[in-house]
Amino acid sequence: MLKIDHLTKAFGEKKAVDDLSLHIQPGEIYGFIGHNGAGKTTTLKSVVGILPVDQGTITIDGKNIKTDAVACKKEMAYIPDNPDLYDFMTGVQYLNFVADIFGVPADVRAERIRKYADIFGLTDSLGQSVSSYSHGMKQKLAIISAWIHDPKLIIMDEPFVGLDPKAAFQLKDMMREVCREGGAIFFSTHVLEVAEKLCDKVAIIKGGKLIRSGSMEEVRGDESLESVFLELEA
Amino acid sequence: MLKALIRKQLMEMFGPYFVNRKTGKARSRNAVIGAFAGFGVLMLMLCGLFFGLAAPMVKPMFGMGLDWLFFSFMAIVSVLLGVFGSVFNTYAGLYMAKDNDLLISMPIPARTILTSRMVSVEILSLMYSAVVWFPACAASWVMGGVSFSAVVCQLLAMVLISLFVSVITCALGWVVSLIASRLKNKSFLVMILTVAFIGAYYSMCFRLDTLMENVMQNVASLSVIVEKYLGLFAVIGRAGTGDFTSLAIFAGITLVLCALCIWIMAKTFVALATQKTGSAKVKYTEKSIRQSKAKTALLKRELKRFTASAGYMMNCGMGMLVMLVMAVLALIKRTELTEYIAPFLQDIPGAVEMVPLIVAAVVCAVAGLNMVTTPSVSLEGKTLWILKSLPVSPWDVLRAKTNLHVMLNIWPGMVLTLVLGFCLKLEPAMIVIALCFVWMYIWLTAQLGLIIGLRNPIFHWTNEMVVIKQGMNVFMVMLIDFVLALVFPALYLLIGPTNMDPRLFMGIAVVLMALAVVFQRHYLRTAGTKQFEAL
Repeated sequence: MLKIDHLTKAFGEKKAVDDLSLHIQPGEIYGFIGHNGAGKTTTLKSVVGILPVDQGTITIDGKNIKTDAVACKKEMAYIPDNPDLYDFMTGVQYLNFVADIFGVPADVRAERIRKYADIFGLTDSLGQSVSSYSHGMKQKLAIISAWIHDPKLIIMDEPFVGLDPKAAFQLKDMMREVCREGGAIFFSTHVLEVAEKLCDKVAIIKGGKLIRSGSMEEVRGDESLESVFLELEA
Repeated sequence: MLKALIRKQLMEMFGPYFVNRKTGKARSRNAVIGAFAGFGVLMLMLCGLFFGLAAPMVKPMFGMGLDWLFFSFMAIVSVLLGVFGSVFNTYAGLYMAKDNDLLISMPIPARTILTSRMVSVEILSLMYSAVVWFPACAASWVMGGVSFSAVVCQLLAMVLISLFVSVITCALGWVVSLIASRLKNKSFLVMILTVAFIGAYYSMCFRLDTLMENVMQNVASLSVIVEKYLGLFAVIGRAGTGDFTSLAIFAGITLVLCALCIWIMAKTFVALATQKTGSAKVKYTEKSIRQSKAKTALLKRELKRFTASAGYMMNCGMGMLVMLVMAVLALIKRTELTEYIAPFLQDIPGAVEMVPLIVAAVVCAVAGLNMVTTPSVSLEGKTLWILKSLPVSPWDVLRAKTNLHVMLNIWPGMVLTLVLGFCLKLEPAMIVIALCFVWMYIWLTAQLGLIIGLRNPIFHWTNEMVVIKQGMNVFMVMLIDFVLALVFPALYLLIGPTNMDPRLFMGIAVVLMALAVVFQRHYLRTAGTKQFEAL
């Protein structure tokens, strides 16, 4: 589904991501952990085509993000760490805009908006301007917009930040559902307990380099993910 | 503390002139000089305009011993222009800045935040009021004589006038904010107030000639009116003549007003700056949805952004309103219009041949006030990730921006050209060529604005007015638009209107502009899309 081969991305002299390779299969929830500034967001932004790749290749379903960006983006959705959405639109206008871009038929999108807005308790607020939304509401709107076109691959940067416990629970459920249906999820998080319970595989990044990756069992062995992470970070 | 806040304010305002925010690198000396030179030329042109307005009044008024009235009158014009120039910025700048929450959460008194915000209002006020006041002073030096005390008083009065303008605009911004806090749709209110203000302003501008005639004919009675009802301006007028007592009175009044303004506004600043923006809390009811194509969705998105911001509409789209107003006025006053230009057509050789080109150039000069595309890239701000992560090509994004500019401008431009063509009885073929001329100009300026906006985007703004109004890009585009509108009439004058058929000249101009449009389009499609990808 997602193949990152020897990705390198530098800002000036500093390498934010250094020769990183990962392979995410359909049906997998892949966690991405690392300390602040380790290179998680840079990797995720490179995957979704926001940041140009310096070296290496990123392919989504066999298509290269560098040469076939639009086709790659059609297959995936991205939720950033800070949901800055269009303040000049209402919630429903924003969802319709995203659905229009992905060519989601009117009846299908109406059903999906109804379903996910109900799940997150956002239905009543969809007519309000996004500028009046709280951080959590914006996060929920960003999640609904990601799910509205039924993507095969969902990339999320700290998706649980700002969500209330109920919404966080619902999101985990939705993530599992995507994978059950053959999709894949690649997300970064600082909440190691969530990663431990939710992820099939996990990758740990430090100073732009991948220092460990594999199935949860392979990475943590007999220890907790937190212990392994702290040992590797030491 | 205040110093640090003012430094932040100035960095936001002038930083882009010195540092490329995209790369973080300092701009080259030539680029900085070029930007300031462009700005200087624009200011000089405006100064020249007001020098021309002030100069004919100096001798008669000074001759009658009413030199103070001359300065009073110019002070009124200066205050009006100053208020008009900075009022749109004030509400957004004071109350809508994105870092208000952050600053309020810090141990900074509200009056300190306000004072620092007022610095940018003051800079704009100074800029707008000085382009009237300074040429007026220069006209008085050239035609009425000069003394050291008068020059000192006039220069000090210029600063005080700008401060007075800042107080008025801040007070207006405060009133708008107070009303907006009680209303559901704030954008709409700002828009209505702004249009009303612009209407009043342009009504005054269109009557400036009559106003000037009245001033000159009724100087004596006007001096009584100013003394009786506009006492403060009489004081400013006397200060302009070199009277230090009047200057001290004006300084005292302005400083007290300024302190009062900050004190009153500081009382309500936190409440007004933290009020929730946007629409009212209305429970959503599902409506039928219409699917749009991706390209249409992008265009609709641009339109929504444009119409959602009163500041964006007024600063970058005012020309549309002016074109429509001009069309209506031209229709109503078509007899006067033809009578007014008849003597020129008879007396000046080649004037008849120039008319179609002048019609087109006038429409272009007004259309050039619209710079919808210029700040559109910068306005993406922190939401740029959305466009970059969605499956749309950069070219589709850029095309939506230019299409909106053209779509919004083409109709008022065409209407004004047709109306002027009809009123001035241009032959149909000339009207068609003039329409093509205007059409090409609008495309040219739309794409030019985008090219410049794309090369120097500013994404880390705390107040959208920084990119809409104060940015270097906007000044540069405004200047180039103006020059482009005038370049063909100037060329035709140089060639000599009787030496070349106007149809041929305008046809060549249209072809040249069409070629430039094609070149720009190619540039945007290749280099432009690469620049967008690299943002």
